[in-house]
Amino acid sequence: MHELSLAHSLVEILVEQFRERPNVRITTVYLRLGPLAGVVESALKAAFAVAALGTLAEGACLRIEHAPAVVRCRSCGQEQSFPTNAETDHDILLSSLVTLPTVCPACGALSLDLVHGDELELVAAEVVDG
Amino acid sequence: MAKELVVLEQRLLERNDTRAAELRRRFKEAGVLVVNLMSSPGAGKTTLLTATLPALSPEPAAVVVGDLATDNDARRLCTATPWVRQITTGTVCHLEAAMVEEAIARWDLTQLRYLFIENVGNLVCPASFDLGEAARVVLFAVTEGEDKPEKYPPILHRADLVLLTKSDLLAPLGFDVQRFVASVHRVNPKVPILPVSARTGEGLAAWLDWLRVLRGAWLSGSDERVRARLQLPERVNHEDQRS
Repeated sequence: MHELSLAHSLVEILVEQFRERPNVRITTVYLRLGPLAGVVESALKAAFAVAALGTLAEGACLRIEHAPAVVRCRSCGQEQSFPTNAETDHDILLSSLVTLPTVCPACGALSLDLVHGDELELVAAEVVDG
Repeated sequence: MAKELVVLEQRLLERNDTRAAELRRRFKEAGVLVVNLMSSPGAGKTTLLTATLPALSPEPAAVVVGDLATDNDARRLCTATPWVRQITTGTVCHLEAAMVEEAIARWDLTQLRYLFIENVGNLVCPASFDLGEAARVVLFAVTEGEDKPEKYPPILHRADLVLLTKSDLLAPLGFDVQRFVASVHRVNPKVPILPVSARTGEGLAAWLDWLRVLRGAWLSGSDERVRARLQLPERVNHEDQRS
């Protein structure tokens, strides 16, 4: 249920970003979501619809772009990407779909760092002046 | 009406993270090691702290504890330290940096060496929120089963230590420590694991050592946030000493 807090943060950011443009209405919000962000997409969408009520984002569509998880080996520097499966039902917790490797596929070292994958970012908003 | 695409590129948790970074700076300046304790309800966070605080004495330690309702935990802890603040979150399932900021507002941090933040009992939501801590400790109780870690991966991604609590029940429950260790390391291959029992005292000395070494490393380190990769002795990392 922390999706409701996140949705409130999202709406706060939007309200602030468009403070100088009181006539703007947001039609679409684009988010980037990593598989390790620990967010349930459907819960976030439902929460956003509620959090946006009475604001410039009321009724806006939430579009979610799924970023891959990327690990980098501390020994050899090799990066490896773990794309999320677009065919998979994102209604379940995304993180359960990604199993990170424990050894570097290039050199076998046990020293992988997560470089990307926990993104939870507002990318852009589509607006109309009206 | 013309449509316009406005590029914003901002993290949703930016406000929380900014606040947390400021808290972390204050904690470091005051010499306080802050540990964020996370687990499901009933894993033994409060009980661990009621055993930890007297053992750390005379080093002063404070606790901020979050629950949806009641100040039961704060009342249990106030016999162990004068610095206890209960945060009741209502229906909110996690703590956020702003709540911690408010809870510690009246404390003189320079009086403290340790601050434990006992998060709301929840293995999912608290993972996303930085509270300004230097380290994250995740507790799993023996009674939760060996495969709990891999069922709740996000909480472990940024964990610095895993405590396997209620270790006095390992034998009666026939708990498979190797399976548990494998389950944790499937999600976070580097995190050390320590079995502890607040009842028998098992593992408490190693836990206190970990805290003290971490505090020293953190205060002398240049990083704002130490990713405490302090390794524990091999035996506690991989094998239940008694099996």
